[in-house]
Order: sequence, then C-alpha cells, then structure tokens
Amino acid sequence: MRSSLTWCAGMVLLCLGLSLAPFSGAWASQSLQVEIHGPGQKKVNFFLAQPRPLEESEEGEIPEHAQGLEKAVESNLSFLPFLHRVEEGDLLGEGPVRGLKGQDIDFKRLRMSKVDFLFTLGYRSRRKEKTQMELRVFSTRSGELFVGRGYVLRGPEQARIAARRFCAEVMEELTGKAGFFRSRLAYVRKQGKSKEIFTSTSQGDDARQITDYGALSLSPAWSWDGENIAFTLIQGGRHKLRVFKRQTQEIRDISLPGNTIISPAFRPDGTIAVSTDPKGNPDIYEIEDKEGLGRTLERSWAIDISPEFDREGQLMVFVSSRLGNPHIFLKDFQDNKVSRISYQGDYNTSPALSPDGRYIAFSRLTEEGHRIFLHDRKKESTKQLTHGPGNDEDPAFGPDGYFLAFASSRQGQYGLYLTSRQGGWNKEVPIEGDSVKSPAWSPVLRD
Amino acid sequence: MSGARMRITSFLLSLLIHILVFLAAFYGPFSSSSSPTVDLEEEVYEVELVRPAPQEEEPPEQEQEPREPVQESAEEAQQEEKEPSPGKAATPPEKPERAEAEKVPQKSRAPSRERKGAKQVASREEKERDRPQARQTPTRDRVLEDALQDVREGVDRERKQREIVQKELERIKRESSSSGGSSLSEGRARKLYASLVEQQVKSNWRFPPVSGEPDLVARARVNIKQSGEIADYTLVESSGRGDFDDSVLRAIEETKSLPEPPEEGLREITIIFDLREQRG
Repeated sequence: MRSSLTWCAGMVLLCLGLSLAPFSGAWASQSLQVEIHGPGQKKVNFFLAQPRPLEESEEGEIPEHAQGLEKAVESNLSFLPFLHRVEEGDLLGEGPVRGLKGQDIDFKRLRMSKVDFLFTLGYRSRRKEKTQMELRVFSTRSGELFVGRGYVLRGPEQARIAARRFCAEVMEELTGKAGFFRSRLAYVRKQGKSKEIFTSTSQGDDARQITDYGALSLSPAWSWDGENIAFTLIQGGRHKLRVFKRQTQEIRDISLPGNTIISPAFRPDGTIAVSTDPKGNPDIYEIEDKEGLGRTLERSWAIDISPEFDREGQLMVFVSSRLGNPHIFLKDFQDNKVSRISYQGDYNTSPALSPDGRYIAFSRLTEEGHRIFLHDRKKESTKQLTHGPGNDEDPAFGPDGYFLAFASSRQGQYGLYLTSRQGGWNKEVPIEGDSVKSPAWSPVLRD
Repeated sequence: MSGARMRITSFLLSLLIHILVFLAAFYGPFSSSSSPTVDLEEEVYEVELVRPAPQEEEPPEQEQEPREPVQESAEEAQQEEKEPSPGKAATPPEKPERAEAEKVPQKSRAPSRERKGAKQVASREEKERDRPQARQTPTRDRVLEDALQDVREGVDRERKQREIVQKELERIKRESSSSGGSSLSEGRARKLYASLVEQQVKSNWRFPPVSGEPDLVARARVNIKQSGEIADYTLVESSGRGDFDDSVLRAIEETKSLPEPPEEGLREITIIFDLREQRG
C-alpha cells in the first residue's frame, strides 16, 4: 500500500512537470527580435545654458571673459553638423537649469524636450581681471557628467583658445576624433594683383599671413607633421618651389629643373612630390633632400599633376589627361598599378585623398558648374557632395577624414566652406578677403 | 489507517487522471493549434522597409557639348599662361577634342499607326526640348527651397511606407483570424510588425557619426502591453560605451508606444542596436 501511494505521488509530480514544460516553449515564442542598423538621426540635441556664478554670493553682470567664452563655444559647436542646438523657447516648462550641480538640474524635463546633452558654464571672478571658468557637459539620460574642464582666462584670445580646447574634448568624447579643433587651414587669398598664403583655425580665427611676395603664391600643402607648408611661387615669369617652416617662420627656396612647378604635396616620410616638366610634359617627381629631382612617381605621354597621398604613403591620387580629358587616377605603390577613379564628366580635377586612403574627393565640371564629388573605394561608388550654386572646387580633407573644406563662389566671390563626407550640409568659414581659394588642411597640431 | 491511505491513493489517482485529460485536451490531437511553438529554423527577422511602387523611369538625358571651364576657375591657369614661360603645358587642355554631342533624331517619331510609341517619344522629346530652357543657374534661395522640399518629400515617403506596412499587417491579421490562422500568415505578420518596430524606434534613435566605424552593438529588452504601449525596458547587453547605451535607451524611451502586436501573447521584444554598416 505504501509503495502504491509512493508510485501515485511520483506519477502526479511527473505529470505536473510534463504539463508545465510546454509552457516554457510557448513563452519563448511570445518574444520577437528586431535589428536596427544605424540611427535614424545622426544628430544629437544639446542645450547651452547661460553662464552662472560658481558661488551664489557673486552678484552682478556676467564677466566679459565668461560672455566671450560662451559665444566662442556657441560658435564652435555650430560647426559640428551632428549637433543640433535646442533653443530656450523650445524647452518644456520653465527653467530646467537652476544651478550648476546635478541636483539643481531637471534632467527629466530636458529629456522630455528631447535634449540629449546639457552644457553649463560656471564662472568666478578673480583678482587682476582673471576669470575662472568651469565647463561641463551632462548626459540628460543618465544625469552623469560627460565632459568637465576648468580654465583661467586673462583675455578674449584666451577665451577662444579655451573654447577650442573644450570643444575638441567634447568632439573627441562624442566621435572619437578631435582633429577639427586642433588643426589649421592654409589658403590662398587675393590681395590686389597678388596672391598670398594665409593660415587660420578651421573656424576662421587667428588668421596669419605667411607669404608677402607681391606675386602669385599658390597651391599650399602641409607636411604630415604640420611643421612645413610647401607652395608654388610664380614671380618674375618663373615658377619656384618654396617651403615655409612654422617653427622658425623662414621660407626655403628649392631649385628645380623644368619650367613649371605645380601642386606640391608632402609624402608621409617628409619628402615632397611635385609636378614639373623637365621632359616637356608635366609628370610627378619626388624631390631629393639636397634639392633636385629624385625618382619619377608617375609619367605618361600626357599631363600628370596634382598628387596627394594617404597617411601610409602607399597610395597616390593624381589628375591625368592621358584619356584626352582630365580624369582622376589612383596609383598603388605596392604593385605600381594605376586605376581610374572618375568615369563621368569631361573635366575632373583637384583630387583629395582621405588620410586612410578610402575616400577620394574631387571637383567635376557639370552643366551647372563645378561640383565636389566623393568616391568611396570600399563601396566602389561615387556621389555628389555639393550642389552650388556657382562653382565648388579644391576639396581638402580634414585630419580625421570626416570634414572637407572647399572653395566656392556660391555667394559671388570665392570663399571657403566646410562639409562632411556624408554631404547634405555646408557652412562658410568666416575668412576676410575678396577671393579665398585652395584650402589645405593641416594634420592635428600640438600647439 | 488503511482506509486513510486508500482515500489518499484514490485522490492522487483522480488528480493524475485529470492532469492527463488536461494535457490531452490542450496539446493532444484535438487541439486547434497545429503550429510549432518554437521554430528553430526561422532566422532572426531581416527587416526590410516596404517601399512604394517604383516610379516610371525617367528618359535618358540628352548629351550636350560640354561647356568651357568657367572663367574664375581657369583664372590661375590663364595668369600662368601670361607669364613668358611655357605655362600652357602646366594645365590640362581646356578644350580637348570631344565627339559631337548626339542629338535626338527628328525622324524618331514613329508612324501614325504606332500611336502609343509615338506619344511616348513625343513626350520624351518635349521634355528634352524643355530641359535646356529650364536649366538656369539656381539661386541660393532656390537651392535651399529644393532641399527643404526634398526633406518634406522624404518625411512624406517614410510616413507612407509606415502606413503601407500597417495596412498590410492589419490585412494579414484579419485573414489570419478568419481562416483560423496559419504559420505562414503568422510569420509574415511578425515580420511586418518587426518592420514597424524598427522604423519607429530608429526614427527616435540619435547618435553622431563615429570615427573609425567601431563595432558598437547593444541589446535591449522591451516589454509591451497588449495595446503596444511600452511597459518597461532594460539594457541586456551593453556596447561597452556609455553614451551609446544611453542613446539606445533614449530611443526606446521616446518611442513610448508601438503598434498593437499581431499576436495576443506577444509581449517581449528584443531590439539589437547595431552601428556596424549594413551587410551587403
């Protein structure tokens, strides 16, 4: 009797277990898996709060340096296409930012207003007209500090430097690269009948003139260490190659055979490549240390000019008229094979190679004018990046391979503009001058 | 004592028989559901956006003679040419030899008996004749207006796509309920529902372009109510990067509500947020 009781109890437990087991399978089928490749919006929203005193006891107007820093940060962030500013009027409710500490910030209200990041600026006036600044960026989702930096400002120029450094940190945290705020642009600016070379920050600040020949200084090119700028000087009917050294502010003359010297470019090892025509037609040569032409990098029966290299020095893009019209070509020094990049249009010039060698930007003459196109070597596709009006020319990649600078006459006179390799956006670089062209972008600079 | 044991034994036997009958009724040959509860062969849904019907192809553009380079762009080359040196060789030829542009032949109009073909060719020629006149140098305002129009059209297109998918889902649900349901229609309904979820959540997902295209992947679990309203959500697999994880949770938070699920029991959705480039 006891054994039959035990047997029955065991059977009941077994049946209960079997009856529950299928439910686990049924529960599993009531779930769904979805994959999302890439965000729907490649911009994040931010709100820039008004500067506040670090100590509540500090009263009065916002110090001049703090105001200057706020404006500089605001201006710098406007250059980043993946940041969208939320205005105060677009916030839900009143004043979600009542202080500088997390406990004084209504992150929930900011999230409801679809703000992803909050920028705060705190100031404290110190003696001898110094102002201490603390800048913070909070993630509204977690309420955590994303970036935080402190600076002591003594003048408006320091406010701009601090803003650049801070925005570089923010950009690096967001995207992994900070080259935009740590590099400079070189460009050609018309001055009367002459053309001189200038440099400025990528936002157009701190413009410095580096040539003053009263002649034609053209085609600036940065070295990969940012220490030198090579350019072509046309003076007295002759073409000359010159190299400006940033550290000493001196310009060195390099004598070369040939009647024309066009579009110098630095290779990653510091040597200069240049188009010149010692044998009649311009070909691309390497220049030796002690001046004079070195080995031939590219030669054909036609005109070969405008070389540019990737950061490894393995690839070179250039323009050649070997097919009758100017087209873009790519040479791989590993096997010395030359492949064609541009197939459409009759006039493709000014190639620029991204540092990683994947993207090639160039200018093509279309029915509406010159436009910038971008070729993706990995996807083997080409797309139009700019749409005028006027003419868009001379593309140059930034050190991170994301931004491009180019010259455009869309507002009448030539000026410099920025876009990204994704296109769909552009912004003018505010540079003074009647005609500004031929941008060249430095690598990331240490100073 | 033996009487008590008898009663217990009888009770247990009775309980056993009831359980067996329950199992037979629910999962036996008399049950209505014949579809497998877990289909191990079914792949993770590859979500494809439903696109509207393709529009008619535009006629090929007429080839025209390329224009000369614009004055400003050749300014430097011309200045170089003025210098007494063979600077002419420095720049690529501005007027290289080119084949004459092909023109639409006038005799392309078909005989009158081929009216349909004649109408098509005539309309194509009309467009080609009109095109040179319409081609003016666009002003900045015009370029901006065109760009805004593209954005509006893009938003409309997305909305229409969602509506198409939603209607298709509702149609399948109606068919499924009236015909007693089949694994094929259920599978299709889940696929369409997954597409809707993907579109809605993706539209709220904001993240900046990241250099180097790192392999950032995060996985979140979302529990929904019968109405589709998001009850709660949690991150089940971090990408290793705080701001990326925040962005995916923010996307879910801002979505708030999804469409009503196609099946009554569907309550859990696992969303994989993948920053890697789409394969293929």
